[in-house]
Amino acid sequence: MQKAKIVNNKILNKQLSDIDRIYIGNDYCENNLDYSKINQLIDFYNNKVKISLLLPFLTDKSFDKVSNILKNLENINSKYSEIIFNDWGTFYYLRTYYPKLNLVMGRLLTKQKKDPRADIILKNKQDKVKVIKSNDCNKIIYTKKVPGTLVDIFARHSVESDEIFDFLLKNNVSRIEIDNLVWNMVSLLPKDIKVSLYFPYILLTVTRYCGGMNGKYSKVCNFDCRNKATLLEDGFYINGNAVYYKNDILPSNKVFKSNNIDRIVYQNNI
Amino acid sequence: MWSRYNIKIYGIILTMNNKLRILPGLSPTDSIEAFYSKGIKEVYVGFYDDISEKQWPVAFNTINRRGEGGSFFGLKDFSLIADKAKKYGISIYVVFNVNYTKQQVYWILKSIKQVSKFSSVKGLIVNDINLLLMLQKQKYKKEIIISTLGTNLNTYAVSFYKNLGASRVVLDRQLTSLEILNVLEKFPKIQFEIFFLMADGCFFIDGYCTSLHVQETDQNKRYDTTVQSTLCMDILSSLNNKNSKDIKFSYKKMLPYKCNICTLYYLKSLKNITIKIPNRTITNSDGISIIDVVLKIEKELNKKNITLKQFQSFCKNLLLENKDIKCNPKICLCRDLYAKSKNSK
Repeated sequence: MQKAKIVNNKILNKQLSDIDRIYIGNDYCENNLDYSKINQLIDFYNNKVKISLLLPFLTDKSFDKVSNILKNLENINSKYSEIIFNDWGTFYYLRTYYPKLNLVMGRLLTKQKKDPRADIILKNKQDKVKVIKSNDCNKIIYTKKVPGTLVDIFARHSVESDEIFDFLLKNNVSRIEIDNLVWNMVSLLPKDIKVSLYFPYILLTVTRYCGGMNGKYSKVCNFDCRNKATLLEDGFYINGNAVYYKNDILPSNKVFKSNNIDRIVYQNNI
Repeated sequence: MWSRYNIKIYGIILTMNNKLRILPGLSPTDSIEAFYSKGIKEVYVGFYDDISEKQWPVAFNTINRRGEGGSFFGLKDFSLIADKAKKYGISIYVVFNVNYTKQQVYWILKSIKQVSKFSSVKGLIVNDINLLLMLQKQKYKKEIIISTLGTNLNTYAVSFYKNLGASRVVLDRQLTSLEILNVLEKFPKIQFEIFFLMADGCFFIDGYCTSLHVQETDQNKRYDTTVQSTLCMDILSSLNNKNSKDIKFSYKKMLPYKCNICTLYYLKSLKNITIKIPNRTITNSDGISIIDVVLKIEKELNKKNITLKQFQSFCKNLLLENKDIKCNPKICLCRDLYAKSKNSK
């Protein structure tokens, strides 16, 4: 099992001996990519560990800046370096202008159904009858049973057809990334497409309205994501523009194997 | 230039020749006649049937994102609305805009074939790459619109989807006005849909949000008896509990980010935009009242020599009247466009 570590924009001073690969960058916001530092980080980590450049979804303002980093990564000329993309526009850009780079389909694109609040419903563990009391009258709600076929689709990601397998492999994408769901995970991937599993945080959703979400409106980005995350009720974390949920139970070996998972991507505490 | 309002009489229904293309969602409880009377020439609809319902209830957004109340059940009901649409010259786009598993593909392709037989159905709204690749392989003949769930956040995304056969792209709700304008100008031959006066208050990027929305209509028998709200609603209430003394979080504070009204001042001369209205019966969003607001704005824009300042003032009043929201330029998505236009002067 490969071990990867997300370092964002930081240089890790401690031993790298137990880590196979580091992820530079992030998958939640383009504003928090420190472009000036990324080349420095690539130079530092090169020859020590394998390098992945983790890209969030990008808007048009970022492509020129990313281009400079990619040129540096291309110069390393390592067959082990890779770029993780999280929107199809970035994929198109990378494939058009950097056809030799190894690409990885990021966890925002594999479209798992992740909301942990679904678990109780999928397991049909809700109260069979619920009474909502009000002044006028009590309202009774009965439960409908969730079919097993629905549970099955909650276990899957979006890379499921022969067409997309061919498409990815033809475009030099032989790895996809997923989150560690709180329920079972099922995959139909062929052996030549490998999977990375993020641990322990599930990235549930992102926004560009982070000023609204954290109540700190500002005309320009205030990098609130660099502060400590806010832990909400029900175990959700808000970190800048992203919402996470912690699942620190790794799946069984059987699930690792059946899902082609051969890499765990460790995230720092948020 | 846009022409003035025309009102024509077809039978007993008055219709307007709107110059703005407006695309509302049509639910089973909506009146297509009412939409027609407002000059609507295209709508989008959801479809599901008993086969899909037994296996993957539409309430869980496993067939489309319109959910139970926003979708037509069965081919019989669908054919009725398709025939009515044909009578009124309204084009229908059918949404199959979630990601599908291998088990669902047979049903999806069969359903696409069935609904596409109707002449009023002009195309599909999709985002699943698996499905797009299959449609391309099958040489699907009607239009393909890329849903906002395709995370259309940059110009390269438009090129990507164009290569997969898209003729129209729904831009992400969270693009700024300047970003929208840049994309529109780069692809004059592609049609774009932009969201307008968002009614449902979602504040995450649609294509990346994995929040559970169980959209069911039966109030007495439900899949979700906890009657969970969405993740955004839970987060807002949780934040309010945490910060009760400091900040009150509400959708009303979020909405000015994305009302997009005054963007129209800059977009009005572009031919490749459609105003998308994300109304769903389940969220009690009334399509007709939003259409009325859009028509009011169009009327204002048609006034001769209207200045940006006058139009902005109109938009501010409109937002206050219709949504009880005070415009806040500090957080407005239009602000970068204003800054650019000021600089260019």
